[in-house]
Amino acid sequence: MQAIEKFEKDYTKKGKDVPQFEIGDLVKVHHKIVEGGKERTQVFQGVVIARKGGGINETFTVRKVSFGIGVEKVYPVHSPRVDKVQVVRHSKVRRAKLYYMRALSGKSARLKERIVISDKARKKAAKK
Amino acid sequence: MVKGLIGRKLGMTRIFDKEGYNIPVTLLEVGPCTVVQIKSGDGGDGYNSVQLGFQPVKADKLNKPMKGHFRKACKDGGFKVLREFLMDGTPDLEVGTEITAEDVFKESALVKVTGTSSGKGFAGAMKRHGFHGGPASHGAKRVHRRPMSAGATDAARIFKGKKSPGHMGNVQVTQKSCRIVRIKALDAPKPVEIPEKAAEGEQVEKKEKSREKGGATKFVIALRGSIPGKPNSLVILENM
Repeated sequence: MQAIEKFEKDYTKKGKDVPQFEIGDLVKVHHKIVEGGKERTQVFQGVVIARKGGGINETFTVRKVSFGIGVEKVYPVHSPRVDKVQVVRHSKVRRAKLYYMRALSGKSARLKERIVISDKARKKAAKK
Repeated sequence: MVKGLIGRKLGMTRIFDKEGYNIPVTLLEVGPCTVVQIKSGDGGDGYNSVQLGFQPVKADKLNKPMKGHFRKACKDGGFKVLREFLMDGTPDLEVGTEITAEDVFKESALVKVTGTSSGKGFAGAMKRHGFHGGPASHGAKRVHRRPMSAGATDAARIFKGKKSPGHMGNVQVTQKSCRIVRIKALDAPKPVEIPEKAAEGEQVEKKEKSREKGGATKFVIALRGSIPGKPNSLVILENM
């Protein structure tokens, strides 16, 4: 097993390149796609409802409701095509998998925002 | 040089290439193999081949005849696995030479893999021979997965070779045209520090040798796609 993990390390993202987000976050996924020989970036915005697998096989699921229809996309965390993941806002969630969101719509499908103050900002405020 | 080496299947994973394509790969630990015996056509063996040893074992795990067989190849101990590889001409190798995966294989080359398929136990005709089985409905009663007719009635016997349920898997399988995606050296063992208070000269010599040897001899080979057999099973890799 160890040898497999060591081998995978050469192909996984490292340090800053690893997307940083949590379950329930509203994220913008920048996905590089090739269309007609040209490369462009497609942005998909939605809520992270699951994160699965380990090592190079790790994936995350992003869900959004588009024109009244639920759309989910599963991205491999370590794929070079997933350019970056921007966190728009955090949510207060109690589960690691938010599959219950699939059954909800409208008002009940909202997630309470969780405001995160970074250590830097806290120190700045304390100085003032 | 030898055409192939002995290895061990580690398991499967995936890699992403530069364009972002996902490539499924099987990882194998291949070599190092040591030349244990050389057989040559003019040496009275009748054919040219090289016997390679894989996975070293200590001397106390071996019986006397085996120890004798390994004496020339290594000072003490021997190998768990021995396999012979046919050569085109008289072998240009010496007994005791260590061959690594890097010496034999190249990236993006095609290889032939021989291993043992996973045992499936006593399997039915559908799984074993790909029969279609019976209908799911239309009054079918308990005949959904049966092999059905076993042949004509006037022969009054079943012809030899009739496909029927039985033991499946756990047999030698050879898969051709497997593409080597990458050959990666496993971390070399850390050089052994020599303590200043080395008592006997013999010991020092041994340790110095192991430090010299620091270079990587263990290699992991990534093959595109899957190969038969379970993780940890023995495989033989040969250049095509």
